[in-house]
Amino acid sequence: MITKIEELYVLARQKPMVKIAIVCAHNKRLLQIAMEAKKANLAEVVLVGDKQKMTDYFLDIEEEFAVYNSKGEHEACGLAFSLLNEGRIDGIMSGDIEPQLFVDEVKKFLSTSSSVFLNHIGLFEISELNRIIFVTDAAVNIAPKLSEKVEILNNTIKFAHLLGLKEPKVAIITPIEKVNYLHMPSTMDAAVLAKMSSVGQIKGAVVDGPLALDNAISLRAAQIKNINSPVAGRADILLLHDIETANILYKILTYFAKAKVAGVIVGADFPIILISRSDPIETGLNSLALARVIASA
Amino acid sequence: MTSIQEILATAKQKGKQRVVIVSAEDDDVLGAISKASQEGIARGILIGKEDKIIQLAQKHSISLEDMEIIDVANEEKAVILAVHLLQENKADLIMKGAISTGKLLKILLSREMNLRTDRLVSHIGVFEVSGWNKLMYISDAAINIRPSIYEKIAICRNAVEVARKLGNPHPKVAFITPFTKVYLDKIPSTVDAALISKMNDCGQITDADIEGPIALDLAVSKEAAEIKLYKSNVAGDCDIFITHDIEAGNVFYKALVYLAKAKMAGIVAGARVPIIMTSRADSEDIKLASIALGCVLIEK
Repeated sequence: MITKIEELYVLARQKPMVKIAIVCAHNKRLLQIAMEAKKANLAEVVLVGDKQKMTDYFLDIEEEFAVYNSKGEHEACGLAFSLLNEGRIDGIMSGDIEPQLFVDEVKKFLSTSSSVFLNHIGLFEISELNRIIFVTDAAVNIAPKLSEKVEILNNTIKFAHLLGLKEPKVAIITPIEKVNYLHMPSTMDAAVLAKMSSVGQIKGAVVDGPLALDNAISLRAAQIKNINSPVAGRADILLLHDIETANILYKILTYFAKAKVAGVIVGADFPIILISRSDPIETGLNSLALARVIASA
Repeated sequence: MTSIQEILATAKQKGKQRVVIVSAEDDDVLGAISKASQEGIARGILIGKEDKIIQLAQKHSISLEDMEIIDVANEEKAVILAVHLLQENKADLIMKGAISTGKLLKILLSREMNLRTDRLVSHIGVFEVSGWNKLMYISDAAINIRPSIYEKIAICRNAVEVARKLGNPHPKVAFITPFTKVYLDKIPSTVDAALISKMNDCGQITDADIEGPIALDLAVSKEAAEIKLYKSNVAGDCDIFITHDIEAGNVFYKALVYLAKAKMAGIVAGARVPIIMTSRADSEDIKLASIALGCVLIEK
């Protein structure tokens, strides 16, 4: 298992080239990501969206990239999906489009082919920790029910396996470490998920909760609170209660913990990159490397 | 004030306040009050099992000089005694020791104790984060589990008052949500945020600039706001961050402390006196800073 985001690039280069369409590639930062990816021979990027908006930034954009012109967000998504169907691209990346709209479009597209469950995973390299942390779900599922949390876990565990993490430690994050069955549904969900793991209904990982964030990532905090759990202080995967919570964690890690980040939606049989539009260019490149790693897996 | 250091310095300047600790048999709390005493910030009144307190102090080489110990074995009696000391003006504020938060607050805020006001009681964390050039106030990470819109307004008011007492007369407040648009049926936090920020525009909530729905990246980064074409004077310049619920507040708090090396002080506001409340796993520095914050906030 990799312990640094940089290693994604090493893994990526061992894999075949990948072709990713940026959907609504309408701002300078997205086009810079495409340029950098091309320069580094990391991924082949094609651009879908309003050509006019792209040439506002780079006049000769068509000399650099295949551009598929479309008007509006729905049309851009539709065009990207037909490129996927035709096998002309391997995956897609969300561009200058509302994330919820992008997710809805992807779900509509997938529901016609098979029944799939999607969730977002953020990979974070944080200087305080000696491993990559997977955070889910900061973007797709707003307030997942218990059954949906099981789906999120299964997807995320599978994804961790794909990256070589054999038996990830999963913490179900809650505000406190005990079950509060009167007032805190997150603690009840956590208890059930932990039990489902210990009786073998959730496989391929060690799941524990309810655990507060400090106990999940800090051995010292777990010791002070006398928490006896194989996951405490050692968690690889953090399942947050809802999008409110996960989104805050994603952004603190980005802005204040100076984390290196990659973001992806899993559950489909092709890579879907989703990062915040305000994320640095590096995050886009990290995610393209990740997409190349998982595309052929 | 823009740093935890300034809070400590201000407390020192104010002189020793009398801090009564409920269930003082906790080595970290004893260490913090001892340091606060040496720094000239607080004088400790320790309620709890006397032999256990002395034993812990000896074991961890903590000086209990200039402190009073009151031997009370029962936790409930310890809380009641602490409140009596406040009422008799023998103490200035209360700090949570080894007692559980739920038990402490339940007794403290019961009608008989007369510490409750017409205001909501809420937790406020004051953070110093590198890369952010002022204090960050976060609420509520510890008390209100899933506040209603009325409760959110009250939480906001408590935080605004704390900021005001720390020298910020008109703080900028963000009601943090995952997205910056209103999602009527799907995301209740965005509806609450829209209503509250509009109430601020209409002059129904004063003494602060309130924004929302606003995602955290926009509240902390002008650059992010520019990229997302988000216009607000709170963007990139926020003081107070109100989260939708305790889940979000708690993760906010702990991610800053454990992953972004933030310094912090925590306080419970809304009762007649501030209540110093820290988590067991919090460091001695956090506990000391929280004592200092409480001492700065009391009106005296």
